[in-house]
Amino acid sequence: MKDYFKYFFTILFSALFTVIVCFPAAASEARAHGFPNAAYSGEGDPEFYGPLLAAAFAEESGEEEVSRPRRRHRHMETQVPEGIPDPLEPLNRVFFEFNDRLYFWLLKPVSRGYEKVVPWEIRTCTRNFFRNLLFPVRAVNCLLQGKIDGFGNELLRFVINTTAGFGGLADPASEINIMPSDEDLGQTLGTAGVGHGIFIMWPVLGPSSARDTVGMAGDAFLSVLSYYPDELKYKFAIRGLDRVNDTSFRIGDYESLKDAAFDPYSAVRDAYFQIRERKVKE
Amino acid sequence: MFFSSIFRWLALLTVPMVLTAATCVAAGPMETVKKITDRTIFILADEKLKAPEREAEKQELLREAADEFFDWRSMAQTALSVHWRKRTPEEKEEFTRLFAEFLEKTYMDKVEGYSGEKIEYLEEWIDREYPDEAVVKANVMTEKQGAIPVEYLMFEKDGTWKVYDVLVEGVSLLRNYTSQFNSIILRSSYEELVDMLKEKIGS
Repeated sequence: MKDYFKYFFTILFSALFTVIVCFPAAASEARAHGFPNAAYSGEGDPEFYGPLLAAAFAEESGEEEVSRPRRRHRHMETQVPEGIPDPLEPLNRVFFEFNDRLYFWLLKPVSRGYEKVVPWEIRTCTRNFFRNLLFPVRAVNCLLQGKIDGFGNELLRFVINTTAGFGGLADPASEINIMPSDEDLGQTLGTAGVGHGIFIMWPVLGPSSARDTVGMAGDAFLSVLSYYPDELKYKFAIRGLDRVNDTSFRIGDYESLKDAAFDPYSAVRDAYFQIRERKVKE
Repeated sequence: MFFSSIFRWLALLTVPMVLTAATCVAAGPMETVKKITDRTIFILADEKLKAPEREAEKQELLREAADEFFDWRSMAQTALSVHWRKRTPEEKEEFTRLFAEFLEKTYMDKVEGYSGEKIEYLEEWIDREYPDEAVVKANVMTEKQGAIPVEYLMFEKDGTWKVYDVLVEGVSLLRNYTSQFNSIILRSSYEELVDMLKEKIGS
């Protein structure tokens, strides 16, 4: 009985969170306060832009630079591309710095050691295992988005990989071209027309948005790992293993991003925005 | 008799059609990407150019290929977005040069890490309304991470196709720089951005 109360309050909290943070009213309020990065949402409407960019708009009718008749990407030359509002930027930057250190001081050395000790095959199996566990998240969100094919594929994958794939350690389904569909609740909400809301850089968890945070919380209900194991320290240990295992495949990615960036924080923010936009559209 | 004459007409019609199609394809966007990528790979794989004393020559050859591949001016213009029109012609010139140099450097670092990955060319899409706009889709087959989808956004300029943006796994490189530059200019100033560019090139 107590558990039901817990779930009830979590859902209530998530719903409240959505109403407060996700809806554009909050974002427009942020814009009114002149947060610089809340400035770019909405296309072509000077109203959407902060005072700094409004000045740029006023000049727009003047000089013409565009030397070729390009339509699809022409707007990029006169406008800052659409981005995600970021009224919490100062705080986010602090957490970005924190995550950066966490990566270089802890996650990277641990993952590198792990990569050296644990052979590639076992690491791949571990990854497959964790992915297989998250099948309900993908399947349910396929269903919620009306992607029946994706739902069928996920169901089939789960059955094949859990049996023929030794409990999800191997991925024979991909071998016969039944591919996973990478769906989550954040994308489902996006498909339903919910905007990103604001950008949030969570410590440890990394970049997210208001919408995707609600999505993550919702998806947690469908993840076995939130119910089992019961004890908190084992929960953390398993999460940690998953994270280290995942990172061991991607050592160097963050470094090269950071190396090619002028402002790593806004590079990550924009990449997050682009990736999520793309996934919602797919 | 009837059929043979039909075939003759068909043959007469098809020959010029095939020829025009062939010439179009030869100058097409995907062909351009393939040609320059192959050339770059050829330079990188050349054993003679691997000698340290020929490093400068190799760099020069790679740079030539990159210059032919990308349209730096339009990339610089896109990267500065709303701030472009506020710059003087000299500043625009300088920024284009610096940004090109920076991209060349990053591109070169990426390219030098090349270790025999295969590139699979998937499709070429030319805008119907604006036939000077095209997208070339390809997959870079890596050992570690499988196929990485890459898209080249191109436009035609004086009869040759030029790349103005590259999307890696759906993330536009140029767009990412645009928002970074905007953030930097809004937080500090254009001069600061130029200093950062110079520093990146110098390092």
